[in-house]
Amino acid sequence: MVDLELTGIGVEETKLLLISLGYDIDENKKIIEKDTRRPVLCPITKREILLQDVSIMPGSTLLINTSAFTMSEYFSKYFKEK
Amino acid sequence: MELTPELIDKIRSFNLPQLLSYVIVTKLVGPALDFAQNRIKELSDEGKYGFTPSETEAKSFYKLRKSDIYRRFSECLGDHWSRNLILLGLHITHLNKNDKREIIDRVRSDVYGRHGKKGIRITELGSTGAIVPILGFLSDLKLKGANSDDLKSEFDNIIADWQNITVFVEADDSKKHILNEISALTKRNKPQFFVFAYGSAIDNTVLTIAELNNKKFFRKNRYVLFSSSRTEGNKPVYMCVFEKFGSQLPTLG
Repeated sequence: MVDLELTGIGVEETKLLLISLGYDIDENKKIIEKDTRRPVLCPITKREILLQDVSIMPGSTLLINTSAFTMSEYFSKYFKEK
Repeated sequence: MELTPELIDKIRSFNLPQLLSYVIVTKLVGPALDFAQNRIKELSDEGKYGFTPSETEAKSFYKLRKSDIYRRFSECLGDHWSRNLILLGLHITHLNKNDKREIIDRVRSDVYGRHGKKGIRITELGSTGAIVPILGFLSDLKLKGANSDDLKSEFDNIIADWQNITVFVEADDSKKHILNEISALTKRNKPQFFVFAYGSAIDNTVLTIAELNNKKFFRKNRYVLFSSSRTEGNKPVYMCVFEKFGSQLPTLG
C-alpha cells in the first residue's frame, strides 16, 4: 500500500498542473475544460471551482472545491487505497 | 531551453512537486515544456499525490479514515450514505478550540444543506463519541447474524429515533431527575437507549445508575447495560448504553 502524500503548492504550480492535465483557467479564475471551454464542476458540491479553492486529488484526478465537508466526502467515498 | 538527453534525465528524476517547481523556476518553453507537461501527467496518473490549499485538514481526514472508530463503522455499515459525516464528526473532535468555532459553523451549514437535521445528528454522533456504543450495539447484532442491510436499517432507525432514546444529563440535574429520565425510557420499551454525561454531570449519573443496578431495576425491566468513559478535548465523557434482553432485528424474526 502506497501512502498518499498531501501537500500545498503555489498558484503557478497549480496552474501548470491543471494545464498539464487538460484544464485551463478563464478570466474569472474559474477552472474550465481546455477543449470545450466549459466550467469544471466539483462532483461533490456540483458547483464551479475557482483556482484558489481547488484541491487536485488522485482517483482519475478529481478536482474538488476545498472544505471540510468535501474532504470528508472525498476520503470516504472517492478515495481508493493504491 | 533545448530538450537535451541531460534535461530529459533531470526531468525524469523529479517527483511531481519537484517537477512542478522546476518548470516554474526555470521557465521551460517549447519542446522542453511539452516533455515536462507529459511527465507531469504521467506522475499525476500514478495517484501518489494530492494537492490542496488545506493541507492540514486533508491530512487529518486521510489519517482518520484509518481510525478504529471509522474502521468499525465501515465494517458494520459498509457504504452507508452517512459515513463521511462520521469522519467529519471525528475531525471536529480533533480540532483545537481556536479552529473549532469557525469550522464547526461551516460544517453545520454544509451538512444541513445536504442532509438536514439528520445529517447534523450523525455528525454529532462522531464528534461526541456517541457513535461508540452504537457501534458496539451493531457489532453485537452482526455477531447474532444480522447482515449489512439489517445493520444499515437498524442504524437508520436509531438515528430517526435519536431524540427519544437519549438522555444528556446536565451538570445541575439531581439524582432524582436522572432516575426519572432513565425510568421513563425503560417504560418506553425501546430496544436500546443511551445516557450521556459530561464533566461534573458524571458523578451523579454514575451513582444513580449504580443504585438502580444494585436494586436490580434494569434486570427487572429486562435491560442490560454497558458503560464507558472517554475524554473529549479536556472533558471527561461518560456513556451508558442500555439494551433490551433478546431485542432482535425485526427482519431476523
